[in-house]
Amino acid sequence: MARLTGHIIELDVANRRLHLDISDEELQKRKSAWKAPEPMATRGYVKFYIDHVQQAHLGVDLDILRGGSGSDVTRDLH
Amino acid sequence: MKQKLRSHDWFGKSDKMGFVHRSWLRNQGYPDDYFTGRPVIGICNTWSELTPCNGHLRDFAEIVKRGVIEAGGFPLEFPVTSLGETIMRPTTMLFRNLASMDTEESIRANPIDGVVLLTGCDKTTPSTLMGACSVDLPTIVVPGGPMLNGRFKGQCIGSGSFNWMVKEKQLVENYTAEDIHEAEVGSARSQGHCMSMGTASTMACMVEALGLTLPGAAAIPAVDARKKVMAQMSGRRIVEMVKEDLKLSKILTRKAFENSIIVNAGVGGSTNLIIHLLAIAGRMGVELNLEDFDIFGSHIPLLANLKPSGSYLMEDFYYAGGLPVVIKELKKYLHNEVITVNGKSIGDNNANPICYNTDVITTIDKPLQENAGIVVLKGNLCEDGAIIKPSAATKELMKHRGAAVVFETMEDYHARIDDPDLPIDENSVIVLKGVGPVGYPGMPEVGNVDLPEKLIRKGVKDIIRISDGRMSGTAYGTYY
Repeated sequence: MARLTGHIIELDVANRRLHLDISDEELQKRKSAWKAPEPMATRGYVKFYIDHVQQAHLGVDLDILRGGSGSDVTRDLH
Repeated sequence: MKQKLRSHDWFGKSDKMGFVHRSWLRNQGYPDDYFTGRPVIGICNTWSELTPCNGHLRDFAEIVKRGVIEAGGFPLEFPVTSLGETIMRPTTMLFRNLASMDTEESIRANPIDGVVLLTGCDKTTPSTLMGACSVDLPTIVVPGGPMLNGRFKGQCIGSGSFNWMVKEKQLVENYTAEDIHEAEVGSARSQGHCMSMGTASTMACMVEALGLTLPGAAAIPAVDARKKVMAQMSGRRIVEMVKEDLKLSKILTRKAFENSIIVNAGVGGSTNLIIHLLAIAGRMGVELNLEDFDIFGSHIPLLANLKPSGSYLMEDFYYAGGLPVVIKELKKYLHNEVITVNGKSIGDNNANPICYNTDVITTIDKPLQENAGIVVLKGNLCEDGAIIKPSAATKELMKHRGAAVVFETMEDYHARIDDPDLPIDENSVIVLKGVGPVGYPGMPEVGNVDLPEKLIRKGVKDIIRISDGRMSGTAYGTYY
């Protein structure tokens, strides 16, 4: 496995910046070459989670769980 | 005015179904009048022996019930999925949403008019609250409270914060196995959750700042008798909340979320607040995004001198006056008019708390640190944003250029980090991949990886670490 070690990363908290010092072109090339690893689960809750989870900037909730359904239940058990 | 209770749809019927709903419940020995007009209070319990921080909550449920009955309610306790932070693999974060689904469906499917959430350990607060939000009944949170301060060699040690130092202590200070054992048994010496300002304490402060607990609830140690009083009073209060129809949606407005961000900055709370608050807002349909944490929090001064940002622990915080003092000090930043579970505004609830120790909680004029709240970074490495908690990071690293040392996975990190030939020094930037929500899966708290042995021996305390995972609320250092 090729490990990309050694490129310069710049961070500047005052200016809210976190930057990898390579050209946009090179970054695009790497992104298109990137292959997602095999998912860690193929069944059960974890598979369900992997299929529906949202990324960190959205809160890591499942997409289908956002919002609410209120407290009404219209149908009875018999 | 006699209000129609939600539970009346179950218990108020004179037909076959009313018979079924009441009859089987009676096997636990409830008198007739429990089924006629008493608000039914669901006590949602995250007790589990596998969640040690919530191990006392079975007793607490009984205390809450006392309050519910005193106020004329009918308490019914039910269990939901509990998440033990220090035990569950690969990470409790994988199961937070599962626990929220359990909570949501348990509340909605049952004859419940109002809800008490008994919480403690990190994920047990956001998971149950997320579920409750999706149903939107009157709901109050009873945070289980922190442990007493850890004690080791005559000093206080913070839960969580010490274990991140074990490698350093062994290598540099020559701690023996006996020393480490002594710290292990002295760290968790009473019931309750982590007593540093880790994620559990952060979550307790979050719900108090959101207005979802009685005033001052968050900081009370689990074993302090006043915690029990708080639990009992919460039981009384939820019955009134049902009568007032004081639902979550009336409390959890956009302004309440902004308050919570501001208070979190003031106490130096965990970065985990972000993912939980975003998820809770998502359930409520309140617009909140990552940038809001920078906009409302980053300029807020740090007032609470608590580990990992400061020196003290939650027991000291409580004795100094607790969260009400912080809320009062931050008054000029807060929306003071927003309503809380006791029906009063957060400003009125926290109008006159006394600070008994200004080393532990400073005034706003002499903060521990200016601009201490979480910062949101952007750049080609993080188009959707990255976060850093300046109060727990190293100042000198806030502006830095360094060569990346990239680890493809957690296993790759473990295999190579202590390789003497690894090209890494104090200016390097560790990049850990494959630990995000999907990849790990579950976005574990592995972002705060240990430094390599050779740097620790050199006396290096911190280098920049970047990952797609999370940082433990009890950890310190410069992480993105």
